[in-house]
Amino acid sequence: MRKRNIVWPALALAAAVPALGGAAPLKVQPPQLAAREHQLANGIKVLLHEDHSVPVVAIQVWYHVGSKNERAGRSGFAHLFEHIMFKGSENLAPGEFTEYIQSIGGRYNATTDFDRTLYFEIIPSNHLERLLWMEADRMRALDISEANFLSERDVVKEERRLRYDNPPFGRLFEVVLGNTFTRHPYKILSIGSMADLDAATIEDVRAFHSTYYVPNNATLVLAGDFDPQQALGWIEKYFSPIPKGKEIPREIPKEPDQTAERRVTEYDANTPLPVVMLNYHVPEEGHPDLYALEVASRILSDGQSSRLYRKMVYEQQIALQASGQSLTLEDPGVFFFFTILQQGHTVDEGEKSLVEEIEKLQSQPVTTEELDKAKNQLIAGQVLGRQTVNGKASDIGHFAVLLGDWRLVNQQIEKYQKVSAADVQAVARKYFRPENLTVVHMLPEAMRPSEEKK
Amino acid sequence: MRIPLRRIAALVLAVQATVLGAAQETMKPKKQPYPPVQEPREVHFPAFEQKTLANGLRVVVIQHGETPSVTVQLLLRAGKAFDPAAKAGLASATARLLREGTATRSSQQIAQAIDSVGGTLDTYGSMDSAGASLQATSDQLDLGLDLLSDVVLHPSFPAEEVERWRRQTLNGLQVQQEDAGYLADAAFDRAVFNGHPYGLPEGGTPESVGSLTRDDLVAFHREHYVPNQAILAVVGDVKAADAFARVERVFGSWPKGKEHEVAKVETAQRGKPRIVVIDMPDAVQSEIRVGQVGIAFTDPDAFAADVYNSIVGGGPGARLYQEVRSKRGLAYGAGSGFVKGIQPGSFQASTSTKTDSTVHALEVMLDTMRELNKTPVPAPELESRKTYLSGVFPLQIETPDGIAGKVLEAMKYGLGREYIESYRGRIDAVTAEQVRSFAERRIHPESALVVVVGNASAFLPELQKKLGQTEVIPYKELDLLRADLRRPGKAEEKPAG
Repeated sequence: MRKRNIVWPALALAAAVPALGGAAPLKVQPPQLAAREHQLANGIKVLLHEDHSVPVVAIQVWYHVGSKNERAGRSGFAHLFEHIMFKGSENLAPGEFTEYIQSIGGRYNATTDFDRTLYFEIIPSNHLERLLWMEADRMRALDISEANFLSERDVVKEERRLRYDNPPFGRLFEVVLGNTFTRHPYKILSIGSMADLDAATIEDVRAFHSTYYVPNNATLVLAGDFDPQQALGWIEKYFSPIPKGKEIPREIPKEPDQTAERRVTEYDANTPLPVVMLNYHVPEEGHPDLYALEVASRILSDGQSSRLYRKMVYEQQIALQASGQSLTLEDPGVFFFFTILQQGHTVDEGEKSLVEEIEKLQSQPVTTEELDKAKNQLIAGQVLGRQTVNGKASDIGHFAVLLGDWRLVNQQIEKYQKVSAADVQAVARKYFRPENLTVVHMLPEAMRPSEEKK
Repeated sequence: MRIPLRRIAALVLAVQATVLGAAQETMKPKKQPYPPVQEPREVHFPAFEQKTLANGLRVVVIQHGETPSVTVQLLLRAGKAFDPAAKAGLASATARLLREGTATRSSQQIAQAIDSVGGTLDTYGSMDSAGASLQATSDQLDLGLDLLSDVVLHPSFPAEEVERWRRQTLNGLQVQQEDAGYLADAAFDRAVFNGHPYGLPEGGTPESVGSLTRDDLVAFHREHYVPNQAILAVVGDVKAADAFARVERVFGSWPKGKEHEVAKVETAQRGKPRIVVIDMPDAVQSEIRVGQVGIAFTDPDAFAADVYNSIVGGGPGARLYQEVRSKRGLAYGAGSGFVKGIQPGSFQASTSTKTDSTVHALEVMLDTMRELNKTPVPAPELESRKTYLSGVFPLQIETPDGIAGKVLEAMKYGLGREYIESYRGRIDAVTAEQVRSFAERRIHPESALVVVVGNASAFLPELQKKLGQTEVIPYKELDLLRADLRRPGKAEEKPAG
């Protein structure tokens, strides 16, 4: 299960300014998602979406814990659990969980981000009862042994080297977050720092687990080929005996309002071409302004006809990539403008070009064609994202866990449809202000001025 | 507000991996019995309708009405298998530049048209094939087919676009030159295929990209973009008769051309191993590749090979993952795979590990492969790997893209629905002895090609002591167009230390 090396070039999607013909609204709409809702006495929220088109079912267990719940100096714990969760429980040997899923042709994975951790498997539907039992076993009685902890910590350190320390541009995002946030734990990547991983003890890890990996912090989503009545019976049978945990601590250090622009320049051996990132704080998920910001992001970055691609990559040819997009999170997130410059072009050129586009968004309304195109992209994206049972479960789970109401999943397109050109201009003016900005320039080590060389 | 998060998810989210296979673990005594498994629901590949147009284009349509979307995929016999050695990257450049201008549309008009309906249009080159694929909502099928056929049939390769592509590609190659994983794969392919175009870097090298001309692209397109060696699949919320009529309208007048065969890949084994170290002094991890020439897709051993691979390195339940990661914590991942083409592709095992454990991880990989050549697979392990290979079928046909991929793969090799449907049964029939025999006859750890990209000074003495003669190439001097992988005119340098 080798993952592709993920590097920054994978990130920037192209985008453009029309003027070459309009976009008629699509005639189709994303299918509405229906779900049956239930809550167990110990607090587990259950959401069931039936879809019998293929005999598979997606099981998703969401824990409302991510890297933002980690204490200072103890980063990387939520992600470390992603690993320990596969190392055995009362009735399951280390690795048995994954071996079983593989042996039936299923797929599984887990993802940890800043706000939540998601464990999921997609399996032939006749194995549903057994997998529910296995999920319940590791929720109830995970084996957090010293040996498991130590071996998985080594694996995580290799993961960190593979994803962040060795590849080109690997450190960029860490530098961006570390400077854009000063106090909020979003300033640290979910993989954690090497120093924190080294300093972690088994007691720390166990305490983190008993606080957050409890039924009252879990949401179980099933999507696919099952009988809801039967599935609910199994869920009651296997998950109900798990004792409820204490109330979940939700105190997270707040990011103070930024009052002046910040600028950072870093030189880095794994940065082959100069990079500029302009990072603006934006509100938390669910905030009404995010819809207009997302439309702005599509106009700036989605496709080769988008504004930034067309101008910087295609016309000026100063950039290898250019985009503007938001990282929307449970607490206030970031909208970042990003460009990798072509060889021979400077970060100042890149920044100037990005700033011109920001000012253009603020001074002139986007065109009707651009607005329609962005909305079509959002609708088509939802249609294509809902081709799989796992995609549907993810959509339902996301809104249930982070916004407390899965029904919001069916209201997104309507909210995007209401965004006007004036709304896009208004949010650009409201958030893309100098005192809300952190500028990061990442440059190849070879470009370090000689007096600064170590 | 999911989508932006997903777009950067690759970056922000640390994604998990796995653990030990049960096969080599002592099972815990269970306090509770396993709950039962229900009767499986039978699952079959969806029915498909097939037609061959007068010009030889084979067309398949599969109705799949679950979401209002449609996928169109065209596969052409125009991959890097037809790249001349000095023009590495030609097939891929030709494919990439299809959408940068046609007789009637500019690059920006094409982009505008597809973006406006929220669809995607990709053109790409791979090993044997080049392809064009379209995804859109089903109300946009006509527009999609117009665009897709226009870029495939009438590309104009504007000189200005060729230069734009060249600059971007050279910048991209500069990034890749710092990417240890890319260098390891590219050097492995070049060395394992020993001059056959399968081993050329798909995206070219700075030298080849610098020298490709518009005439090269036009000529490659004229020669290789022909209907009589192409296959088109339309899958989604469409009616078959309707889809065939629309396809006929846009592709019916595409003139037949010359047919091409892929040059033979030499499968004779070298008597001794080749060890190549690409020295990257700043690396904190070593990228390791071990392997050899593998098998063609239609090789009679292909089913045994799939089972063999699933045991040695196909995913987290497989031995490489268990030995390298789960038991020893040496890596985030370890695995193996066959790349199968019209001709034999490669068999490759890979991992990446911290510099200090480079030789250790490599030895574990070689030992894991040797073990399978000697000892038959225990029955429970064999069973679990076979059920894995056949059980994944329903998940592979969940989306129009998945269905199109499967049908095109079969049709590329002249196979049909029977092949797709019988695959599970044929895997099930593979025995432990067939796997052992396959490994013994076809897999040769003792003469394997080994490529390591990393900080050579830290592991070279140990590596040479364990594996013998080693070629060391500073990464800045790697030349993927040459058999010795080294830019001419430089003597071999020993890294310091």
